[in-house]
Amino acid sequence: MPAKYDAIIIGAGHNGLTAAAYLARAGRKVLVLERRHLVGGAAVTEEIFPGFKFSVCSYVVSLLRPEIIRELQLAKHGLEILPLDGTFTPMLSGDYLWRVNDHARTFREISRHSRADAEVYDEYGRAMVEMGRFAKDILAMTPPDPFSLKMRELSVLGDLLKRFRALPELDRHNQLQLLTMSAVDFLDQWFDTDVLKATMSASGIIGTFLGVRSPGTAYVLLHHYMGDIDGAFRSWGLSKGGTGTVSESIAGAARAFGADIRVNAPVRHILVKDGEATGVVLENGDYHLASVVMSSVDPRLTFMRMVGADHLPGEFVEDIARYKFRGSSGKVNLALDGLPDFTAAPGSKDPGLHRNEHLRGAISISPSVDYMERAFDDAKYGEFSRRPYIDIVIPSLTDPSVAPPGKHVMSCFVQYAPYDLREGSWDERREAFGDAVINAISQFAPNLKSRILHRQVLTPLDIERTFGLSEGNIFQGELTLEQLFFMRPAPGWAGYRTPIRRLYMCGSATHPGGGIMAAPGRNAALRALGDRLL
Amino acid sequence: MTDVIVIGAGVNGLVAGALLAKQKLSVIVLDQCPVVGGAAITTELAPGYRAPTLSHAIGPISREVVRALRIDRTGLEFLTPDPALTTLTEDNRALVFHRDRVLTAASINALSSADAGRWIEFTRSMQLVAGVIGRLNDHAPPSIDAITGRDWWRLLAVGRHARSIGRQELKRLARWMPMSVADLTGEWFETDVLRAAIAAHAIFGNPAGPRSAGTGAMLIGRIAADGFPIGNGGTVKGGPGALSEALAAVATRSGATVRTDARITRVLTEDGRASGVVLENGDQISARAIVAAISPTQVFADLVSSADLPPTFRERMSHVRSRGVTAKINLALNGLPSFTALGGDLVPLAGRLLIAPGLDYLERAFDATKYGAMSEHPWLEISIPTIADASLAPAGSHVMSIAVHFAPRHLRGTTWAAEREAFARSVMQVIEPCAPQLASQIIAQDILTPEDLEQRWGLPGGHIYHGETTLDQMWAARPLLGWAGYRTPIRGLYLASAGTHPGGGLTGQSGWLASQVVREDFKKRTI
Repeated sequence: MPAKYDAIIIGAGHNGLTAAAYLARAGRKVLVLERRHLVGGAAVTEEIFPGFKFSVCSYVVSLLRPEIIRELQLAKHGLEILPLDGTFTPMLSGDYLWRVNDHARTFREISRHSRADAEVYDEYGRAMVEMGRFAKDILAMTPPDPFSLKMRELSVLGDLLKRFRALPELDRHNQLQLLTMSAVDFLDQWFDTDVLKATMSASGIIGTFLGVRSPGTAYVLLHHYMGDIDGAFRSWGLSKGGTGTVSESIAGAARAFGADIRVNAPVRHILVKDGEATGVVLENGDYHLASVVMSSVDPRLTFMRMVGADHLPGEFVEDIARYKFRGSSGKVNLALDGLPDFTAAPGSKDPGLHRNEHLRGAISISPSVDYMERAFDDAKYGEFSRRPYIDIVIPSLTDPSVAPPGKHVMSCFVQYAPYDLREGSWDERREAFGDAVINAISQFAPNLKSRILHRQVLTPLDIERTFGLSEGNIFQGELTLEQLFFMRPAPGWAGYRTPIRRLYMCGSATHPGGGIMAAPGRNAALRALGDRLL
Repeated sequence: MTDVIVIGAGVNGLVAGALLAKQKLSVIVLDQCPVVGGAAITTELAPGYRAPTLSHAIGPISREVVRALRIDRTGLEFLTPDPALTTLTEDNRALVFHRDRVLTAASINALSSADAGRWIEFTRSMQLVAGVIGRLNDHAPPSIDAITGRDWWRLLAVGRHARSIGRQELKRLARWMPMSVADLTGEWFETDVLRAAIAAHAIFGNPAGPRSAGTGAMLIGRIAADGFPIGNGGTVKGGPGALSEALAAVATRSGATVRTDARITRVLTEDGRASGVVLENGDQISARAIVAAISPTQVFADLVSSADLPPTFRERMSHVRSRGVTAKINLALNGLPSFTALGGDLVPLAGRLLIAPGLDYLERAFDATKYGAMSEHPWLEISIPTIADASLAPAGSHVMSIAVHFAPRHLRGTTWAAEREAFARSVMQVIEPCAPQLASQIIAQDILTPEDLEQRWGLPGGHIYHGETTLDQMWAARPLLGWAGYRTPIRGLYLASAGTHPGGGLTGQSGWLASQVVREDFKKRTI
């Protein structure tokens, strides 16, 4: 009879590890089981080619909750966030748009395109920060279940409504617009410059099967302004040593609190007895018992594979079957011999730019709203974008430890790459997809091809296979309105609990969703502790 | 001095004018066009041929309005064609939607037995959830900036009703609203043409494709008004113009004055209050209240001085999205068109015909508009009103009304004047495979582009509902958040058109709700 744990966590992604750390910190005996040979889930650093360390999947640290950094003392465990400053957007006309944290410089840059927009940009930033303040508190909340029609649950919404009504009039209007509008429609109200709107709207579509003109994409615009509240650089940064360091630091914290983390330990199924989870069985036949089981993997894997539909209420099974994954993104990781030159701002030739500093932030291939929309059009009909939207980061410019001297790693996040291709399979079309991405960048940086030493192409199918993300969705399910807050992952089951007693969800498929926030892991751990079942 | 001037004698303006006149107020209804009706008109296309110029379907008009105005006693004959809609598949078969859901299921059964079974449950569930939204159409929406006790009371009643439909349906309502209609129908049905018929109903009139998020809400909004997932398609004998004439007659009988060819150029104010209007011919009419039953965009851009508005108001109004995408083609035919999919069956022709064979077809048609082009293969909703109403054409002859999507108001790199004929040809090319002889039957045609809609009927952007009916422009946000209650920043000036809650569709509901607000203000003596 193996030792009984207080809690078993399935999956050692950043959320699973965070849940483990919080439970261990509360003195519980915790076991974390990871299918792969390393911890991190989608937040990993791997040396794909000798000497080149890639943040293979997730590549920027977006909204890692400051309270988690503080409470788990992640800095002590090796976390160091380096600033990722600016977004450089080359345009088809040969010009470019460059926005940085330096206020005066961004003003000058946007003024080149439109003086009015440069002035509005500040006003816009201030409005968004205000609204971010409101939205931020929701991230740390356990969503209520309004469908229960119980007063206690409804009163949580009532409180939210009260806070909403206390906002100034303008903010109230903006909040409602952000919830219901498309990113481009929302930005249209503020700006004229097409490229500015295109590159700003890009954040609204990441990880969704929506276009920049699809309603509901405006809300994610806020994410860029939520980090700023907690101090500089929190919003978009690189983790030193690659994104894997984030996971490793959380794992370090968990271990320091006494958690047991095992890799190469794939879970086959969750033991359920009389409607209660009692433990897990591994692929190799080993089993472990625990007072509670927490799954950080997505609901399809958790419920359809590890629990089994026969243990679950029919309505819940239907809800999970309807939960939309629809991965729409791919990733191309490049090992480079040297930096690419963007014709819009080649190396040091532009007097406005210091040598290559425009390459130190994000490079966004989003030259116009139409370009973005056409990229989406292809995907709607089951084709990867012929000219995709690409978010590029060259982390080796900020963190030289990830590449050999003089060489670079380049991470290209690509949209759209629909999981379901209408023609052919991803295994057949992987390289064609990689070529489309390289060609799209080469349009703006013709010498890129000659700089490439190695290339790794990750299709949604690869993301599914390697990282266990169903249909390759990077957020464990689309971040669309009908799958957010008290609807995530299913109406009535947004509070981290599941229809199986003693089984909890703690991954990105729960509120507040994906991106390296770690909020689901923390919220779920606190809920489990509050339930006093362990 | 007159009590009330109503600007615009469309269905909403006439309903508001008639209701206010019944309250013993002196009312003048003014319209710039030579006939009353706005978008509800019947005009002669060729000698003896009369067609529904713009909309070929009406309402339904709510029971309250019918009762308050006694429209049922005007001799007006409402027509509710059954089947309501017939849609044609790519391989030229017909799917017929009857008013009886069991009969419809039988028709669907020929394409998919699974879908036939689900149709019953789908319509039941849709009508339940739409019933909740429909409750919102009974009252003026609250201002989110100042929700009153009465607003809360009404919301509570909606909440109680929502509760009564049960947890399962409530969950559906919450999920469906933000979804795309493609996803929504995809969860229920496997037959593409069936999905497309429902999607077409949702997106009609708006620059949205079936895959646009939020089209679920548009569908539910439609069903809240007309009760059917594929639309009602009701009309009146004599065409929509007959409805307008009947409403004008009711208004006149109630004491209102209805004047056509009276274009208003300015709304006058005194100390921040609306005091009257100036007509194009220079006449001035003073009034205690002005009810603008024309597009809100037009009111604030053209008729009101910006000095009379709060600083940000006009700017916010200018952001109201109103991108028209609908065009009309009306045909006079020397015989009954024959659709090969129907064989000799005439019954389906009583309702509307839909050429929208699949979701991708609709979506591709929509794609073009995003880049300022008209659809290469537009989707069409066709009505042959002469089947049910022989009075509209000489014996044995017919008229055909075709609503065409998508035709964006602003074409890139060209103009509607240059494209008009090419546009009509593209429409004929879509119909041709379904009705090969049609071209030879045409004796007259009228092409109305979104530009015509804007210039001749004063619809900004050519949008048939005076503003898109997307989630962010519905209910408490129509036309603007904080100003959805028919009042405006100018005391004594009210809005009453489709640009206000609950939106378009020739239901008269906006006019009815606005008239209640005006009446209340008269009672409280605030105007």
